Amino acid sequence: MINTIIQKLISRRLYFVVLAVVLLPACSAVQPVVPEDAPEAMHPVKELVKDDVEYAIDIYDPFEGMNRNIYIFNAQLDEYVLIPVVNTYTTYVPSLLRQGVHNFFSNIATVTDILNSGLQLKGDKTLNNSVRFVSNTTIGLLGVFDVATGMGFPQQKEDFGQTLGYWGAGEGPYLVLPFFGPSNLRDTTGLITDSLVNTYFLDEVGLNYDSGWEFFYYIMLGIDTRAAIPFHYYESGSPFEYETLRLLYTEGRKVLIAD
Amino acid sequence: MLKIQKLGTALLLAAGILATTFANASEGATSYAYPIDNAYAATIIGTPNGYKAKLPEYTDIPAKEYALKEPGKTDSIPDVFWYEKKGLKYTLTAQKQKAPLVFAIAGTGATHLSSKMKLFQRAFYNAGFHVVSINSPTVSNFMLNASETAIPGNLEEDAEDLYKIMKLIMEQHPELEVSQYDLIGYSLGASHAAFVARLDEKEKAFNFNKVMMINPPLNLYHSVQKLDRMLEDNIPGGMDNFNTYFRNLVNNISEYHKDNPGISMLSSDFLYSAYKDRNPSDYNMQALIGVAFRLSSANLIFVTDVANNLGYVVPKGTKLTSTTSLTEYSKATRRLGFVDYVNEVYVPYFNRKTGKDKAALVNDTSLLSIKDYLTHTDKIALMHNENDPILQAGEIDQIKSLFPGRAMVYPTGGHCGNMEYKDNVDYMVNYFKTGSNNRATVASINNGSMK
Repeated sequence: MINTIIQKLISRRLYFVVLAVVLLPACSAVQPVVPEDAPEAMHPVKELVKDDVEYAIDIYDPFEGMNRNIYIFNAQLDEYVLIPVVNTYTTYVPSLLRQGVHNFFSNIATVTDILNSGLQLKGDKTLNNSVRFVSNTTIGLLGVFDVATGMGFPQQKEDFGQTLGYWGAGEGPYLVLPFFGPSNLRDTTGLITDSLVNTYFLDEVGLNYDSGWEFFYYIMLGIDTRAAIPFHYYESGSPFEYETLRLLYTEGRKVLIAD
Repeated sequence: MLKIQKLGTALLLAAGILATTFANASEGATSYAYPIDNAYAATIIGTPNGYKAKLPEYTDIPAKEYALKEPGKTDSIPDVFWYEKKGLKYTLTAQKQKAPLVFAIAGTGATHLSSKMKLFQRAFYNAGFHVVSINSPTVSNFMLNASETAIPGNLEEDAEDLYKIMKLIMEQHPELEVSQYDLIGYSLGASHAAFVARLDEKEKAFNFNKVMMINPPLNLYHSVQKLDRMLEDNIPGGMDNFNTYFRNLVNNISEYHKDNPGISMLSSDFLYSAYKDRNPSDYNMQALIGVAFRLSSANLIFVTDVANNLGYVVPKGTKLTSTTSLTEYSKATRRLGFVDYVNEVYVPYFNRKTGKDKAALVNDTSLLSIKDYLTHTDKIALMHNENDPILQAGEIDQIKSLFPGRAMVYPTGGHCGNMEYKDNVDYMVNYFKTGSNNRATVASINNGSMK
């Protein structure tokens, strides 16, 4: 059973993730090439950056060369495919319906929220997320309406990457995943695990490859997910956007793991 | 020494606050209800949700992004900035019918998509204007695509670049029916607006009807000195200990998030609520403002260094590609300040070009250098705050004197923190909506103090 799911995932949805993980070690960071006869800069890096000083921006990134390539791939995927699709979606689909779609996917993700809250022994969150799932699935008509938030049970997301972090797993190397963006080894492991659980859950409720709905499901999930992220590549105005995003992602995850 | 300076700052600040209180009492402007009195907190937090002007969401207005390519420019952009080769980016939100058009210029380090620029888009589109948002001449997209020198900060030259691209933008939209042109800018963008308006008096391509300057520095050099010091003076143990300050900051956010699971970290009220509960020290908040400014100046330094092959931090001729690691350069340029840029890049370049010495060049970055124009024109209005922390002591009064009868100065708001507050938005929109011979009425509808 698990075997078929894994095969299915590898053959289709997560192909690129796996490909990335396999290829990553082949590429390390590309360092600037300084001409041999270049005069020393007015403020050389070695004068401004000290070895004995810690810098928040230094994050373990042994596959930086590959990561930067995937970053560029993601930026172009965004520009030529995802953003135009999302724009069409937001232009032609009324916001009420979009909200319903968003609630529907959030509700399905609540399954892993419950599991991961439980795995982190967080009683309050597990209860909160369980009540959410039950009430939104029933009264909220399969999750299309988020009635739970109004009842005092707000969304409290927990993923398997957070669970691993909670139990002390380190981040591992920073990774930029195709389609998914910033991650690290711990969170990629979490992402794959949560996806397996979700796929299993969807299979159980009859949404599988044979039903023909799975393809549509993932397309809509992709659009909804992208539409909810207020980030556009290369619009930060900073030439150090890769570094900045790497820092924000890493620190943001620490905050989420600590809660 | 540091302590004495800090004490001095605190005293000046206290004096400033007292002065403000009395000034307001005497003018009866007590009903201004922007909720954050602390200048630094206002600058960081902006306007909390409940106090914002009610406007359509950015996603609900027909804002469209465009790129403008100047012939020949693109080829000279270094590969490391490959993503800027699409041209100068700007946003146009157009009305369907003939309408007045507002050009908006962003502040230091901000693009046409910054939240304050989106505010202009939402407010002025909602009021029936076409709106064009333009990047600050200090961001890489502008420096590489629209600047003659990629050495920003010379207000007169920046204005020439801005003016040129404003004309090109209009050429790109011949279908747009424009009844008249207006101009607005915040922070450094406000200074730019003044110089663009002055240039337009000669060139007359737009014949601007009205111009508004929001929170400009009086003297750019004085303000960058102050902003540099906000960071360097307030990191305990100096810049080598920045990491400790940063860890503390993240831990505080983390703790607050943990204690308040109901407030989303991404919501704009997270900071406001954290501020009210935790009461961070002024020194901590000054440092944070300094950090934000330092990030902008580091970006600018790196771009000008590479684009001009200056050999400033990056050795001359260094090969950088789209996938080169820039981490070491980010660390290095963040250890330099804006003042270093002025002294070591800006002044030498413009000294060679114009023969002017440093004092003269610094003076050129001041609004006082165009005093005659500002005091005599009646088309430019000022919106500012008594407690703007980028100004040195006494500078607010000098600024006010440049806009006789045309300065709206609010008691609080810090640096641009109150721009989204409903009174401020009403004031901006009404200023442009009201006919040109009707300015006095506009002033009286508001609660700030009209000088």
